Amino acid sequence: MIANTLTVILILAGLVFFAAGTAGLLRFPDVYSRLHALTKADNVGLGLVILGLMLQAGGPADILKLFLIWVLVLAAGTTAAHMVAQRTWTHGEFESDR
Amino acid sequence: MTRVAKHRDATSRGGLNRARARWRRAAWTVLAAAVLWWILAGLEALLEPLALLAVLLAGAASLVLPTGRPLGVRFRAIPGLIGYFLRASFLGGIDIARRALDPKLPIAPDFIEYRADLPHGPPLTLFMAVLSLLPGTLSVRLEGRLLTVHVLDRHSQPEMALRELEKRIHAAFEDPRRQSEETQ
Repeated sequence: MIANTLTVILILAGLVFFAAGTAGLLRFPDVYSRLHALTKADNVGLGLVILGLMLQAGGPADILKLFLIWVLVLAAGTTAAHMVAQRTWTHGEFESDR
Repeated sequence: MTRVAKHRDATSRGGLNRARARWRRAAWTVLAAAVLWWILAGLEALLEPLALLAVLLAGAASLVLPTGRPLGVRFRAIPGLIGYFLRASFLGGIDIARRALDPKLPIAPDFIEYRADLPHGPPLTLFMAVLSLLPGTLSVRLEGRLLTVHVLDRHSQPEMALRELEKRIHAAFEDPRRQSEETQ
């Protein structure tokens, strides 16, 4: 019961961060600022969702699997953000922003 | 050049040390592969003959493949680094969410240049990866050791946060340059 309540709270909090990240993606003025919103907000949002799901996990393997997902998404997210930023720096803004 | 020096150093110390390091690495690989298989497929699947074969082959591969440059991680500094990262990246998420949802959109984006004193390789890569998750900084470009960093708010003194992160990563890795300087 307590675990279920905590799960709902954590996942709802995570969704707020996802929504905020998306708001930033739409509202921020340029590619770099939008990358900030995506990587940082999604990292915390996914972290909270994963924490919530961990409380429902069937065993240690499931908990570790969820943790692994978070770490991999984190690594992929920050690397992708850097690569998009670097590409924008060398090649200029993307077409839709011109 | 340092790699050559290091290699010569290792051979002069005798093959015994190196062989032991190689076996230790193989044992860690077997353990990591087994844990990964257990996490992804469960305990029953790990005990299948094919899975055990794959795990042992992973260990064998690390025995056969050439060893890279030793990473030199200081394990004592790792928990501090992880704790710092969790705290700072959580603050980063809160910071960006607040700015994105604020009707006034309080951002003042700008680029800064930052000269990192970390050695190339894993320490510098980790530095660039983590700084993109700290509040208000995003790694854009690396030339030599000069980083171009995009900051979301130029009034937030991002250099201090970067220096703090650099200090912590510095503490977590042994610096190969320092060792080569001592031998010179």
